[in-house]
Amino acid sequence: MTVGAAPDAARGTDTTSAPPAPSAPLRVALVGNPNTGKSTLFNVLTGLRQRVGNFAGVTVERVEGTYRDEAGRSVTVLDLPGTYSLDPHTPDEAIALDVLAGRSDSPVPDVLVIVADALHLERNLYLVSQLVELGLPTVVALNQVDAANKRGVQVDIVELIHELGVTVVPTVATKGEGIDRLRRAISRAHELPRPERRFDMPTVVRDALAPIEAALVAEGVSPHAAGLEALLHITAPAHDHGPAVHDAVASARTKLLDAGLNPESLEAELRYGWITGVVHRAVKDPDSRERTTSDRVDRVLLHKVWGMLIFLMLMGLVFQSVFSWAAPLQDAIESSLTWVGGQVGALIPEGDLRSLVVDGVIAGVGGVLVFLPQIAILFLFIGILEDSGYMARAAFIMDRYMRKVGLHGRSFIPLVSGYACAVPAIMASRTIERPRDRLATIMVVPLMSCSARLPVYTLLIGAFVPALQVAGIIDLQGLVLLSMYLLGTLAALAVAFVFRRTLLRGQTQPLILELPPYRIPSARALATTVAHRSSLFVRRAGTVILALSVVLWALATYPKSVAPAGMADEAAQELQLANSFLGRAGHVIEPVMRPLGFDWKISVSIVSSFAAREVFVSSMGTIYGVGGSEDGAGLPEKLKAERDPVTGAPVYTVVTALALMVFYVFALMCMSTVAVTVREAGGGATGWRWAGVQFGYMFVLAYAAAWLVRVAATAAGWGA
Amino acid sequence: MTPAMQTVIVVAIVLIALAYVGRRAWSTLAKGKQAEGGSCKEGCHK
Repeated sequence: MTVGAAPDAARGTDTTSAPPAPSAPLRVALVGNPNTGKSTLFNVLTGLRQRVGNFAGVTVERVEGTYRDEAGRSVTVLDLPGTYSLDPHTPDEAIALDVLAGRSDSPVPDVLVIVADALHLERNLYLVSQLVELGLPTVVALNQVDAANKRGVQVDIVELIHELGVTVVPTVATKGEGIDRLRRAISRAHELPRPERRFDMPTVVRDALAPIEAALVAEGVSPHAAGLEALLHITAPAHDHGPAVHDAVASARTKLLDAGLNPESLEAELRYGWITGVVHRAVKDPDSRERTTSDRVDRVLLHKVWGMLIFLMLMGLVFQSVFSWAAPLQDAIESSLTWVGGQVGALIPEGDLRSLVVDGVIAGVGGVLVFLPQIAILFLFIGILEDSGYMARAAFIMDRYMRKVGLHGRSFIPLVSGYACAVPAIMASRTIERPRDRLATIMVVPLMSCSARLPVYTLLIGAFVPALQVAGIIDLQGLVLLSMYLLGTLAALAVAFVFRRTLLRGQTQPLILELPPYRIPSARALATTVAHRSSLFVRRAGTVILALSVVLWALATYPKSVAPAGMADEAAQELQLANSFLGRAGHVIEPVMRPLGFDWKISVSIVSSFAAREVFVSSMGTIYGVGGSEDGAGLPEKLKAERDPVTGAPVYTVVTALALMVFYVFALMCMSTVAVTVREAGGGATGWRWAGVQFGYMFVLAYAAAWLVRVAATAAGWGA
Repeated sequence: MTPAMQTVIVVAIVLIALAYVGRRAWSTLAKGKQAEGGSCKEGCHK
C-alpha cells in the first residue's frame, strides 16, 4: 500500500468540487470507527442490496449498495473499512484516506456519512475531527443513541451540530430508527456550507505546516486534503511523497522541536484538546465524574518520573508477594507429596517400579507442582492490574521506551502476554500490520520471562538467596526475582533496538490508547483467570512433564551398574547415576557448560528442558530422586547439601544459582516457541531461518551473560 | 509383585511415555501444532 502515491491524474481531484445535478446519482461514503454499527446502518440504508468488490492493488474489501431517495435519485453507498483515524501509515486507514482524498480509482464521494457511537462519542470524535477537514458535504449519524440513553448518557444534538458544523442525525440502526431522516440529510447535504477544521492551531504550528501544505498542493493534492495530510505527516515523516514534501516535513519537525513541541503527539494533543471541550459542552455523562477522578490519579501514575517509580514499586510488591504468600501453601503441597511418596513406597515392593513412581513421577511431577501457588499468585496480580485499568497505564509508561527502541505501539500486548507464555504472545503479534514490525516483536517476545521460568527462578532463589530484608522493608528474594523479570524486559528492548537498526529497519508508529477509568476488579473474573492459568499449569505437569519424568527416570536408571563390594550406598547411587544413559549424555555436554559453573546434572537438565522449561526442575528432581537418599528432603535442601566428592565443597552456590537464572532469562529453551516462531515468521525455510536466528542469538546471549555473572560474582567473593 | 513383573510394567510405562513425548515433539516441531498455553483466547486474531 502506498500512501499518496496514486496516479497523478487522480491526484488533482478537488474534494470541494461543485454539487452534482439534482437528478444525478449520488455517491455516499460510509465511514466510522469499528463496532459503531456501521455495517448494520449500511444494510438498513441500502435494504441489504450489496455487492462486494476489491480496491485495485489492495486486498481490503469494499462493499457497495444502492437505494433511491425521496426525489427518486439513485444513491450509491460505499462502506469503507472501520478505522479509528486517518493514519496514512496503516494500510486500512490509508485506503480510507486515499478514497476520500480522491486518490483511488473511484471518484471522490459526493457525501460523507460518519457513523459515530453515541456511547463512546469522545473516541469517535477523533476521526470526525479529521474527516470534517476534508471539506466534503458531511452528515454524522449518531448511532446507538438508545444504548447511550440507557446508560444515562445524554447527547445535546443541537450543541453537537454547532460544535461540528455538520448535520447530526440520531439513529438506532438495529431498529431502523432515524433512517428516513438520515436519507433526507444525505440528499440535502450539498445545500449546507462545507465543513472545515474545528480548532485553531497555534501560530508556530500553522507557520511550520504551511510549506508542507504548499508542497502537497504542488504535488496535486487538493487544498483541503493537504491541510489534513500536513498534520498527519508531521507525526511520522512521509516517505512516499516527493523530495519537496519530504524536506518540508523534516524542516517543520525541526521548527516544532525548537519551539518545544513534540511533532509525534502534536496532532493527538490538538484534536483531543478540542474533543474535551466538545464533550464537556455536548455530552452529559454520569460516569464523567468517575473519569475526572481517574484523570487526577493518572496525573501521578502517568508522570514521567513518578509513574515509572510507582510501576517498579508495584512490580516489586507483586514479586515479593509471590514468595511470601506462596510459602505456606508450598510447604503444604510438599509435605503432602512426601506423604504420598511414603504411602506409595510402602505399597509397592522394592524394585524398579517403586523407583519409577517415587523417584521418577512423584519427584519429577511433584517437584513442579510445588510451584502452583506461585503461578496462581502471579496471575492473580496480573489479573488485578488488568481489570483495575492499571495495565493500560503500564502500556502508556512502557510505550515511551518501546518507541525509543523502534518497537511498534501494538507490540505492548504481545510483550506483556509474554510474561504468561511466549506462544500466544507471538501469535498476538499478528495485530501488527507491517511484517518488519511484527518480526521485530516476535524476535524479542521470548525474552520476557514466561510463567514456565518461574519454577526455575523460585527453586534457585528459594534454595540459595537468603530471606533477608534490604533497607528494612524490601525482601531480598522478591528483589532478585524482580531483577530477573526486569533483566528479560530490558534485554527485549535492547535486542529490539539492535534488530530495528540492522536486519529489520523501519520507522516506528505511535500507540493510540484509550485509558479506561479505574475500576475495582471483579472477584469472579479474577477467579476465572487464576483457575484457567492454574489448570493449564497442572495439565502440563500431568502430560508433558509426567511423560518426560518417566523417560528421564529410565535414562537415569539404566543401564544398571554393579557397585564394588563394600561401597557406601550414596557412592553406589552416584556411580549408578554417572554410568546411566543420562549420566553419560550429561558428561558429554558438561565440557560445553563447565565454563558457566554448571555440572553434568545441570547441563543435562538444561537440555531436557527444551521440551518445556519446567522440566529443568522435574529433571533435577528425578536425578536427585534416583541418586539421592530417600530421606524425604525437598529438592532445594538436596541441592544445598550436594558436595563435591573430591573437595567436599558445596557444588551449588549462590553464584551457580545466579548464573543459571540469568541463563534461563535469555535462553530459548522451549520447543513450542521455536515451532510458533517458524509458523508466524513466514513458515517454511524463511520461518526456520528466523527461528534459527532467534534461538542462536538467545543462546549466545544466555551463555555470555551467565559466564559474565559467574566471573563477576566470583570476583566479588560471593562463591565462597 | 515379582521383580520380573515390575520390569515388564516399567518397560511398558516407559515405552508409552516415550511414544507420547515423541508424538508431542513431532506434532510441535514438524507439524507446527500449537502447544498447551497457546490458546488464541488472548487475542491473536486480527
